[in-house]
Amino acid sequence: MSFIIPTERRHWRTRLLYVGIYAVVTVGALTMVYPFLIMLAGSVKCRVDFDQFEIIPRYLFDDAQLYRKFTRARYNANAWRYQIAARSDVELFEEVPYPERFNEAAARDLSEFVETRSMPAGFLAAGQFWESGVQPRIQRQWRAFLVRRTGGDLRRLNREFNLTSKSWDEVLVPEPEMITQGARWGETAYDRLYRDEFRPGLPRHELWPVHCEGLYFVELRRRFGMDIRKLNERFGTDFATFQEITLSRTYPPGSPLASEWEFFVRRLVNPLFLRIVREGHDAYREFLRQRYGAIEEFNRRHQTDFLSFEQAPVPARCEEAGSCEPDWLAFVREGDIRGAVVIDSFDTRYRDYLKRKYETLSALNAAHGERYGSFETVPLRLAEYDAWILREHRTELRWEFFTRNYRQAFSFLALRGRALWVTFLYCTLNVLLHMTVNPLAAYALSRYQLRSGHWILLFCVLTMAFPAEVGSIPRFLLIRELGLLNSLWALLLPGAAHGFAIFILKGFFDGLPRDLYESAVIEGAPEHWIFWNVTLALTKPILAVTAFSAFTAAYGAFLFALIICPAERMWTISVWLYQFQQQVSEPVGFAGLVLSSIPMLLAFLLVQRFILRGIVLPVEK
Amino acid sequence: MWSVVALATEPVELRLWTIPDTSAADANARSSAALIDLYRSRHPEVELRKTAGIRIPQIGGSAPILMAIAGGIAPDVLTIPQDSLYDFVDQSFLLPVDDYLAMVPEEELRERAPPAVWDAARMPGPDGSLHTYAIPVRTFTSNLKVRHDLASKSGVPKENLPRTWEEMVETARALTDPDKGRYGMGLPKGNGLAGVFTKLLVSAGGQPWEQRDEGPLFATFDSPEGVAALDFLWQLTRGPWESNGMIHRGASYVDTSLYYPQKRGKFIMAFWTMSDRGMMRAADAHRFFLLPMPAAPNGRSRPFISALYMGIFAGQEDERVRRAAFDYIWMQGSREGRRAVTETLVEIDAAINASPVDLLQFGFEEELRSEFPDGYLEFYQRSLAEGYVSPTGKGANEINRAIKEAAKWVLRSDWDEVGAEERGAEFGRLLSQAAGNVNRRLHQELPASTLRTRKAVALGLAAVMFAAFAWQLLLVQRTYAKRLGLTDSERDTAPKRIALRLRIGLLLLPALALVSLWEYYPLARGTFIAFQDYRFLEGTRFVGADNFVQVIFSSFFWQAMGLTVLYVVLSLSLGFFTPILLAILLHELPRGTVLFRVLYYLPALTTGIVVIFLWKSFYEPGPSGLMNYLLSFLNVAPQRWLEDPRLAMVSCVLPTVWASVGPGCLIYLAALKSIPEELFEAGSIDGCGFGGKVRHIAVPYIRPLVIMNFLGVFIATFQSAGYILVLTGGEAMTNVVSLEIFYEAYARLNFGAAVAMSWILAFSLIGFTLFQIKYLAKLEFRSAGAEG
Repeated sequence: MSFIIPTERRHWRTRLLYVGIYAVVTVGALTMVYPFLIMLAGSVKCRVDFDQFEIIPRYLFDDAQLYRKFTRARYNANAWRYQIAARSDVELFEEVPYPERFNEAAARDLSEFVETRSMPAGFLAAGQFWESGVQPRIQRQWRAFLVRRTGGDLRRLNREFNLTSKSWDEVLVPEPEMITQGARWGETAYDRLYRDEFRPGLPRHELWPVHCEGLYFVELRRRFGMDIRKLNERFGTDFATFQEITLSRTYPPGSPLASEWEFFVRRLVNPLFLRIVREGHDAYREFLRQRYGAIEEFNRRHQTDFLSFEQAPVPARCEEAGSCEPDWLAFVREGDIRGAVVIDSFDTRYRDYLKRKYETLSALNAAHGERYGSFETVPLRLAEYDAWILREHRTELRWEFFTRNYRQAFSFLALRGRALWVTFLYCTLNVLLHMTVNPLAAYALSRYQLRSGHWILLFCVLTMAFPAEVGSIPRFLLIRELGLLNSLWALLLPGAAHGFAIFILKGFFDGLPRDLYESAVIEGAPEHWIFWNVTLALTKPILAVTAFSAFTAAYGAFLFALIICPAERMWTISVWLYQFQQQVSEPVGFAGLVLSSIPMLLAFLLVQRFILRGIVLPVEK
Repeated sequence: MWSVVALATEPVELRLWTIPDTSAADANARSSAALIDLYRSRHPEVELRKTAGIRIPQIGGSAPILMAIAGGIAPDVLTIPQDSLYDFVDQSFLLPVDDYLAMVPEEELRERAPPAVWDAARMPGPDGSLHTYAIPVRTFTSNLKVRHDLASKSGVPKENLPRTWEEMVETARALTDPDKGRYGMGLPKGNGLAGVFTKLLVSAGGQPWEQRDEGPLFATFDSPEGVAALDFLWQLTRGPWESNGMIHRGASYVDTSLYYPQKRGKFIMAFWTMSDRGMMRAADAHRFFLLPMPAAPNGRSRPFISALYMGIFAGQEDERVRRAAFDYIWMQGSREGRRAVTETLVEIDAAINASPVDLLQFGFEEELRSEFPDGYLEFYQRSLAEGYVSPTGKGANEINRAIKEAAKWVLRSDWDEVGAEERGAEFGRLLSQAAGNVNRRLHQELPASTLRTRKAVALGLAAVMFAAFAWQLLLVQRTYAKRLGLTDSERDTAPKRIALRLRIGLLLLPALALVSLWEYYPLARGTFIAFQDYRFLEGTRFVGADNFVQVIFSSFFWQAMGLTVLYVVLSLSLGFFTPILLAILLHELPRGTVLFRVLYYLPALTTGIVVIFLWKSFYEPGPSGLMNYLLSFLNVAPQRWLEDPRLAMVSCVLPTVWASVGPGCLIYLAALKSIPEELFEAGSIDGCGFGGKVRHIAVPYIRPLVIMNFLGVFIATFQSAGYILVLTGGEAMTNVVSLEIFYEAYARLNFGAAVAMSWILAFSLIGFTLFQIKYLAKLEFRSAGAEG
């Protein structure tokens, strides 16, 4: 009953008091609830929106936010790749602009080109397979693919593909960074499995086009310190922005930036995106002549038997060069490439495609509603293409971002090894042990008033005279010497008997009416029936609370569990959670926190109707 | 080429601390993969397994491996930092490797590491004769690493990079632009800072410690070179200077890890180490440039050499596993192994990550010339030849800890009020005090009389302590005998039949056996260990009161004790009364009690560790930290919650307070509910207001609960450590005694001293536990739901 009795309630001072009380407890309650809402909201976010602390994640209704998250995932969390694709100055994904309205026709053409035309695998790069501390979709699918293939046996995977992964977390997508000059497809069985079996099964829109003109833009910008004036000064041009500069397919004689084109082709672009044209054959053979001097030397090196350099093959693309690849690369680096080498990339093929499709520039301009100067300068608009994909797959993407943290946390905490099983065993057995050892002893002391009873009780209670800290290290050494480290026994036994609990329980059992026992005995009930149906049944709330705290102690045990069971196969969920927090990004970590709270919540719901009644209160005698 | 031929083909399992990551495509992973492949091809019968110990980020050095050994999951190959070599040998964890090394060609030994590095792993074992206990796998030499691209952009071209300390301070200042978030210098925190201090001290010609005789090492970091090094560090981190009318303090970016910040261009220069597995390792020559250590004011510039070793765990009995372990270790730097690594690196176009010496040795002169700047090879060879290797011996880690504390202490203050001259004198005084303390501790080079006094004091304390505990036991026994015994023993209703007696015995047995084994036995055992130098494998012996001497005359312990008191006071003052007040308020609500009760109980629906992680994330110093985000509304600058010594302790207290308000309040609510209604009515009739009723009715009624709770919380708070470990790891003035005990025991394996500490901690609580138990005797317990 409250302090304020009903008759006082109407007084104005009382009312004022109520207002004050409500204000205080509401503010207090907010400080309790707010962090939880932050945790829940944070657990479905990613780096892009984590710092914004809104309670309802904006991407659930705001496409611009979703777009930023999507681009970050698509370009594998590297703004440099986005800058290349979008020919953009933006350094942070948080600042990526959303092309709310875009050229539908152009985006459709791009999409059609990507979906229907075949092109070398390196022209499109995979997205969503790497973000620091996150498992994006393609990464997940690749692991699932390998799990299916190996029956989930990591050792088999390691053996079959000569890997050394210690856990599935270390199994990564072996996709090279095709933009960079030295990148090549790996040639191990593992690489081939990815490239030839897994990757072709991906929907094309999961891949993003490698945009050579974008790389040219980014590199020019970097080389001239982000300052277009420096470039203009150097070449006597008058570009307003770096974005205006286009990359010509062939060497542009007479253009002020011809030297930059040459540098780009020789030094920066991946040779995968170059081709030697028919007009360049002479130059290539001339280069071979200079490199080898005599055809005999060439034959010796390549184990061929040509009569002259005129017979030597000229591979059009680097990938076709085979053993001649060093020659091919050296030619690009040092040979006379003007007019001989052209850029053959996604950009140029898309433009060729447009040319075939529309035939005339005016047809293209009419279809796209633009005023392009020529087919060669049609911009790629990849940022808009991304927006197009977003529009086509909006729900799917939202669902992906909403669930992916939880998928990762769940697979880490629950599916990994034995975490769930160990924790389940530990918690259940801990509750069972607590609920047998202590009540049994208390029952024996209470039911049969032994002459030595108080000595026994004293023996139990006296342990309280020494703070827990004193025994903890010798206890650890005892566990070690008994050979119980890294076993369930080490977790269970040391805390199973609790002197104070026996003391309290005995007190309650003493308080039960004794005639209940007597009549039970007269009716011939066996002892265990009495224990179960009289003693325990009448103290249910207290037992429920004791069981709940035994569960809580086991489920939350951290430092203790860490010291006693450092071997991975015996880690409980709390210990895994600790490990998990160190490996993942914060939003994923939050998802782990939420997931690991669920068992506690369930246990609480189970006992909540007893909790208030089961609380034990001390009263002076 | 030398390698052991497998004698049998049955599989051998070799447990390693880590298996290098070979899945990535970078040079580091590729060279590791080359080594693993080579090992596998030579030893197909060996299966490599990783021992999965937990990684605690705050615990560095050799502590994680020591924890693994303690936890019974020791790997077969132990990785040991140089300064821990002595301790590992002392604990008998390492197997001598002389017999294996005898099979290796002499010149390969010479190629692998400079003689001084080998010597460091050679020391007398338990049998008294000299053995080599570990094999160097990496050798590091100190240097200066510069982002020369950014430096030249900021007006300092390569040829103007600093050559002396003086020039360095100037250059660092010239390159610092706090508005752009760019600093001239990058310096590490904590242990790393102590490392930089040692590098500078050695560079100036000093030595951090010396081996003077057979006994422990002597700390000598308080030399004039040490003072100069500290002053130089102070100039870099705190020294005031003016530019554009603004006073700046220091010219350094300070962080735990410097590798990525330097790559991102946060700062230009940093002291660095180059390794024999690639001096530039993962850096690129277009942006980074390595310089010799700048010359000290005395003109000297000497590289500091340190090494990482691997040894074989002595607990491994199987000779085949030992052999496999040796082969694994050997390959980490054998000619064969280095050749494989170098060839791989050249092949993947990453010769810059190879060692220049290896490139030369294995015939890649062309790569060496084209990839490395001129003179690097000579620079590197000279560093190895002229470098200084500090001796190993007992006490290296203690001295390092003293260096770290002294450096941290000095660099925390501004030292504005003293002039340059005086500052030097002051630094000298501080350093020699620190060195003196650690030397006295290591050598007990105290006058015999002081030593005797100390032993007597410790012994006296121990005697008083145990007497007090015995007296307490007696007292409690008397109290309870009176309360429990007399009333019941008169009517012994226990049946006399043997069968029933047996049954009663059976019912009691589990509880009594468990309490004896897990409570009383450890207590008795702990009494012994407190007087022992306890060892896992062999060599435990009694040392009298030495553990107590070590503990009570250590400033760390008393600092920790003070922090514990602070922690308890903060916890209780913030967290103890809040639930009581809240309960009284909630109790009053005519409507919505249940709702509020649930809301306040929310934190208890998760586990403690979840609460701690949640708050740890809120405390993030960057923009992703909720606390700083909320502060920004109040226009308060972002704080480093867990790193600032002024805030860290409160930050450690808050999460627990937050989480325990709800559950605590629930208990008081239950108690308030059980107050009979008539009392309040009577109170109103007597004219009591709200406050009056709380004071005169509620408080007396719930007093036993409040007292019991207070004692329980007080005693528990005194001993809590786990959450501080997760939040700060004991840094930033949060190292409470329980945490110190944890480190002393599980991270340093110094169980004797740890147990002694826990006894002293328990002793300081003795009044409270006594009161608690005696008060308990006066109480009886009811369940809240039983009535009312």
